[in-house]
Amino acid sequence: MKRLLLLALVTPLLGGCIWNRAKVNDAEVAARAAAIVPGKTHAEELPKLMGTVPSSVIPLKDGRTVYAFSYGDAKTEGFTLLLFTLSKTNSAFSAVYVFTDMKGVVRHVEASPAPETAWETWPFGE
Amino acid sequence: MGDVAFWGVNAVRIWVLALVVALCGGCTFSRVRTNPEVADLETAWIVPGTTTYREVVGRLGMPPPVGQADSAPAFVSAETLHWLSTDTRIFELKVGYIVSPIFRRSRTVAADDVLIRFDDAGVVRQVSRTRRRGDETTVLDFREARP
Repeated sequence: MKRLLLLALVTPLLGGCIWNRAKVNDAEVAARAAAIVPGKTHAEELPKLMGTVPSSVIPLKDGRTVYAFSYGDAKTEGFTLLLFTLSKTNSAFSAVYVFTDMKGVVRHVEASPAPETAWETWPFGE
Repeated sequence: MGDVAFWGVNAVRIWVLALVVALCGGCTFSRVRTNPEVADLETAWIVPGTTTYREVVGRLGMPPPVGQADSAPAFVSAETLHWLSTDTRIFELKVGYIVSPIFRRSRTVAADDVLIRFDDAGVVRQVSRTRRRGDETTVLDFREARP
């Protein structure tokens, strides 16, 4: 009984490893952007083509608008030892930017590089 | 109760130890890096007054959002493209499992920043690139088009 009690006290102190991954929005928007035809596609068609509404709408000069479809990936790795936890999170984000003219017709589409993240544990150093 | 012992240790001490353990959630050292590739962006090839928006985007791509994907508006506007990378260290001391953490310190210890401004014709007007490590900020590149 005493040993069980001690075991019950000690066991919660022992930690373990941590892996956590968080994906923000749908990365498929990068591939779906290929369906946009500059000069023909209208802003109102974007939600259907991209499979989602834009995460941001950025007004520019002269009535032009940028529709941003953002997505990202965050990876956390770490470990817990007794009452001590170390972890590191690497996150990266990307977006597809759709530029429209004052009539709402797509003029061009740009994208930031696809996010690349690595699993890393040690939080100290460079 | 004081007469009861577990392997020679006073039972009161055992209960005090158990209470301390229950109250102490431990400490955490963590680090969050966002868009680290921004540190490697090269801007020396950009010539203010000559290089165009198309050339910049073709070589560097568009800026990624930072922190959360919804923060994109801060990094693309009518006149600017803004890249930002951050490195944040976080220390947490947790006391208790119900209200925790009771103490948290978060500090962005490093940041890399590239800002490019364009004129109405889409030509680069200004290039700025800075690097911060701890309390020291280094201007790696700062050039403007001369009228």
